[in-house]
Amino acid sequence: MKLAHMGVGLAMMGLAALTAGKAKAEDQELKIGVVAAESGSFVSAGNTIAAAAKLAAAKINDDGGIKVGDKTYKIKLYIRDNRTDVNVTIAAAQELVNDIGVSAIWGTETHDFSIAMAKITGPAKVLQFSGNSSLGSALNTTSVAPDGWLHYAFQTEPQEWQRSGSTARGVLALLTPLMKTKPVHSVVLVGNDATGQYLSSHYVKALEGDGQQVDLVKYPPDTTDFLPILTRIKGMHPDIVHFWYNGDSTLTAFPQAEQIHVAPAYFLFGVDPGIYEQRHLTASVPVTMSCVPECWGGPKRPDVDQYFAKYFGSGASKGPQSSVSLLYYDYFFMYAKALAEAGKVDDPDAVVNNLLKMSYQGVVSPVPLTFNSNHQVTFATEVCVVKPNTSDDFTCTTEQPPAAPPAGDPGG
Amino acid sequence: MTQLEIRGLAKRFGGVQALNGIDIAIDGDGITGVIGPNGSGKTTLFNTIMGVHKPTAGQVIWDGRDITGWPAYRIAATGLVRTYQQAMSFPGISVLDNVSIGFEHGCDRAAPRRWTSPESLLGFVGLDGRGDEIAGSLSFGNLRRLGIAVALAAQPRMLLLDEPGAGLNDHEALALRDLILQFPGMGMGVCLIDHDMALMGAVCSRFIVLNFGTKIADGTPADVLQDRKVLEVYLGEDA
Amino acid sequence: MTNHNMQSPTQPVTARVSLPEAKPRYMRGIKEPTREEWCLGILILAGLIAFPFFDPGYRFLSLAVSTIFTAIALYGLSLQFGQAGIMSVGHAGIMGVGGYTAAILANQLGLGFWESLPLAMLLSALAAAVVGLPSLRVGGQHYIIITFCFCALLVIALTNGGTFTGAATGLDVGPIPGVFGIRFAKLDNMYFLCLAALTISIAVTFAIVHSPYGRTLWSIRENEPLARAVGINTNLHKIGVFAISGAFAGLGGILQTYYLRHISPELYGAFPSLYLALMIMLGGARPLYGPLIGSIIVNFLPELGGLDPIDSRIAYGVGLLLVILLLPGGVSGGLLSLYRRGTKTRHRLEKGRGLS
Repeated sequence: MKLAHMGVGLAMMGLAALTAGKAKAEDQELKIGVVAAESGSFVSAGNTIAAAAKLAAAKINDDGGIKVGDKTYKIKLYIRDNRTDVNVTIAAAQELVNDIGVSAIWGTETHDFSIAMAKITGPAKVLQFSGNSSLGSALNTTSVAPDGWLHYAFQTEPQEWQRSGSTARGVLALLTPLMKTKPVHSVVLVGNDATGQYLSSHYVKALEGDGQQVDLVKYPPDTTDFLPILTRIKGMHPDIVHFWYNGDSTLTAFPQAEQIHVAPAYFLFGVDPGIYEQRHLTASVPVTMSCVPECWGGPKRPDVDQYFAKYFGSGASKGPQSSVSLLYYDYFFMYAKALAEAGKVDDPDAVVNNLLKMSYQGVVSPVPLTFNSNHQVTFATEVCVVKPNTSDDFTCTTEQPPAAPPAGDPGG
Repeated sequence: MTQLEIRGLAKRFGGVQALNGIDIAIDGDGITGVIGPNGSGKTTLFNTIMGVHKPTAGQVIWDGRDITGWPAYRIAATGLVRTYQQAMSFPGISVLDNVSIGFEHGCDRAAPRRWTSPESLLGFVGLDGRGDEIAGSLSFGNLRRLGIAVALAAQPRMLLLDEPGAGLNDHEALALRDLILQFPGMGMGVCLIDHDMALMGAVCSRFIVLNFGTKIADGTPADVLQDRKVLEVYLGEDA
Repeated sequence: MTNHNMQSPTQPVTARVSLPEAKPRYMRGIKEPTREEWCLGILILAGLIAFPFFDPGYRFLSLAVSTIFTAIALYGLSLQFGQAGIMSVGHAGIMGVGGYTAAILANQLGLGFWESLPLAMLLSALAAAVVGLPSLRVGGQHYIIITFCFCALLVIALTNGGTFTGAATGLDVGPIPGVFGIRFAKLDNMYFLCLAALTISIAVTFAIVHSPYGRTLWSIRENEPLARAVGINTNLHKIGVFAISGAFAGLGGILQTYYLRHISPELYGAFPSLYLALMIMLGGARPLYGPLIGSIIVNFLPELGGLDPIDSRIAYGVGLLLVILLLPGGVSGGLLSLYRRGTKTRHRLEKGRGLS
């Protein structure tokens, strides 16, 4: 019985060797993978990646595909749901890289998953575009060097000290004139996991650099009843409460805070003005929000509105932060351009080099997109404030990133 | 001759004095019965001897060693083993496994074994051929036999039997009597608690009577059962 | 032998104590597997070895690796819970001790997989023994809460451990150094390494369960006071089984660390622990292949059924209820009793007497 098994196994092995193997793109199909949480706790962020990918791929293909050498390639997307689970993420990455043979992967939105995926994409020379600022903790001269494990990985969200810096400045700039007394005491409320810890560590430094006295309060990431913790915060008499975690958490906590009047001003991270308006949220005090690079919702701007019209028109859902899609959208075009410049589809090193030299005018970014030597992108943050007791009266400002990290911030 | 000596043993549970300074010397070559009304402290006595409870005062001397407050497993290793009135077996495993456990962990491995195998011990207590049955599926009478077998497997030199006759019918009680009567001849002293006076009368050569945690009589069955104090206490008691 | 005549109580009976012969085979160490057990084991092993050769694709192979190192940790839980009767919902935390030991040794001292392996298993065993201490004092239900708390505390400690534990962003490790020219970055080879570890785990579990030590564990599970009454130091043996269970968890943990190559505190929190408890209950805590089956169910069911996490949890909840009500031995227990009923009928026909 065992021998027969082995015999069949060997025969299958032979067949597999003959027919399988990494698919070449001679079939004029450029395989691109997306790994995102289409279910599970990060689904709101995951949905935006997939939607952005579909929108970008459709536009590229409709505009005639990518001309590489003397062949034209159309993008074929392979979208995999990682169910917010690391084992499924790894399985999806293995499938995309080894079973399907993609040239690049977009995703994920979670630090741990992106890092774990990079251990698979890197050795296989598959490019990876991850929108985690926390990737910065791993990107350094050694890791992005040609023999480094992150040589093929790119961080499509600004470095956190930049994003935090511009956000802090924007929030304070918008709130200060609207408040009775100058705000000096900020409380930052953050979910205590990898993402939360990393982001808040920079944001706190940015606020302190701008003269705020900051108290950091952490909560377990799956909290749904924030009243106990908000009551405690209220007792600290903050001038501004900053909710800093994923949009779903923020949207759960914020109404609870308003209910008990925790602070005279708020900042909501991970929330677009568009969803604030959509859900008819109101507050009796000024509320600020931020997006990178540009917000969904807020005052009318032709190019931004056009993008989102197409985005939702393609069937994307209106999640808490649909603007996250912009962290992924433009890079399809950058990748396509880098590929075309390389002249060959199977030269990932050339593509990497082209990306590092590229300056690309994104669909909505006011300044061109570039990657620094650590494979990190830089762009501005848009910060908006909504008039109290309204859901749609927004004033927005674009904050450029600071030139350097604030005191005590290691950068990255 | 091994002896179990209890000196001034007292046990208090909160406001209740369960044992009130008991002095007994139990010989290792006979069968001693402990009787008394419900709540007189019989089971507490066993539990305190065996280390389930720590005594509030007094000592337990077994075979010359002060075992007061020793944990039960350590006492069992010295040859003093008790059975339980309820929960007397390991219900989810086979009868054979039940007995094997005692075989493996019993005391004094250097001493010659009375039974060479768990199977022969099963035969001795009348559970021949039932080795593969699950203990929890046995009839009550057989469960009692098993409980005794589990204790015997640990090679005791003295057995404390806690109400071994409870719930047995006449036929089973007779079999139990015959079994217990063999123990002294095999080198095992017995001290047992029970309410079945027929059984107790048939096996015990000595009675100790407790009432409200105090020893009120100690002697041969004939003497004790004529003792006025004992009769008062037992008026109305089913025999 | 003695005269067992119970009908004549007046006859004095003396026992002739005979010296022991060679210890009967039943008590002489580990019971050998029956022919059926050998057949089943070889069948399953052959199937697992052949699996990669049937071209399952990298995705399934990847999930299979996850399934296997999880199953290894579950074998520890099966000894603790299935044999000794002490449940824990902190088992993922023990895996974490093993996993983080390996990662910290790699980052602080540059030790690789092979050197860290014994240390990871040892520290996990120690951690499990320490976490087990409260069980000597409190009953099962209360102890479960304590294990839950341990997990939560471990996550907090790891999250706030600074650069030593990598805090919330976690720690990375390199690949497993190759031996005899086998590269473990290749998924097939990683699979076979984990499979080898699983085979050892199953064999050790079998040896424990079918030895006198297994019976000792059963005695603790079935009737602890009685066990003490016949001379078993139940406290010592409980701590012992915790330590063994911890070693299994540590092995699973270090394999997981070197598979993911990046670990963080969330991997070892309350939810993963509850999932391990779920797997052991669904698969069956006592039958030999219960842990493996439980791991396969939870890792592959959503995959094959296309279930999202919400649907999966509903399915597990229903499955757990069914198991508790209808199949106390889990899926493997159910399969076992089906098999026994089948052979019972066959044997009854053959020999005129049923086997159990």
